[in-house]
Amino acid sequence: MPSLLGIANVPVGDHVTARTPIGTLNLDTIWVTALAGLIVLTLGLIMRRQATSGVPGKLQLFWEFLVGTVSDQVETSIGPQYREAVPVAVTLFIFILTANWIEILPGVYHNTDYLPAASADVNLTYALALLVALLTNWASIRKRGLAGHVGNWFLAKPRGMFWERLLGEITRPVTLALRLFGNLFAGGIMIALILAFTTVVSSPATAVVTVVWKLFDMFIGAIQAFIFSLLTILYYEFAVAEEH
Amino acid sequence: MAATTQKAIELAGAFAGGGLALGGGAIGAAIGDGLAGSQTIAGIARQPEVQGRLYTTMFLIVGLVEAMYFINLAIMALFVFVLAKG
Repeated sequence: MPSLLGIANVPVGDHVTARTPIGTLNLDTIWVTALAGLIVLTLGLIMRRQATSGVPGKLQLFWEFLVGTVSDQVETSIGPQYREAVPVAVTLFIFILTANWIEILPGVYHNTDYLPAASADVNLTYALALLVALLTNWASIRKRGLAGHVGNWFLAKPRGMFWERLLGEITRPVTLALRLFGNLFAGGIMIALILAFTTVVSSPATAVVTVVWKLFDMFIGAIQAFIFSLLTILYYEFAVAEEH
Repeated sequence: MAATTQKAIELAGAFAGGGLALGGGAIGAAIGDGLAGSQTIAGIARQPEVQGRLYTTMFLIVGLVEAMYFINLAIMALFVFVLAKG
């Protein structure tokens, strides 16, 4: 029976790095993020060129469905004057979906994955969650003014719950980031684990299991993108909610 | 000799802790998904025309519940593959 401790040598969290004076940069996350952004921009620009009021093509149908769904959600929860939340939510959904699904592309070379899922790096998810936190607070400041925004922390009903509110404000972006990171990171780990099982089980079996797991991982990636954008809309609603 | 004993204890602790994290997470995620699914089935049985909205809400809840499990999985990977390896 081959030693199962060989499985413990699965490489975890390996990145192509570069050292700079301010710290270590994860280069593979950076270029996958750039690639995902490029794909999203290209799709958007193609969409803009092809937009017709006649019979729509498939891309237009997809975009219309997406923007329509997000628009309805924003209107029912926040109200029609907060249309600025719609582009944010749509962009986050498409970008996170693309960043999650880039893992499908084969990019392994000498046991290093050169095209990993960008959200499997905690830096990207923290950056996205920070962006959401900044945008929601900015929406609240724009609505109430800076003094009103700070006063809202102390005065909004239920009163006197400053510490709970502070805890909530910190917890929400952190869980947003860690949820996305955990899902994608775990998907990558499972693939590495299944492939490490080739020391114990035969290769075709692990290939089949890898494919099945990869499909499930793509499904999870889509759901997590949807949840991220939905929670962004929800946090917008919390930030601009009126007292009753 | 003391070094290998210490490494063995670290490795054993990491595996046991990782197994506990995965076990607890799996139980919690399964119960949460089951509750969400059962309420969806009850809702569809009562009112078949809201099937689409119920499915959307169910997938939302499944995503949130599974997030706890996947965070546990990431912590297990931290214990087993990073902390106890070198």
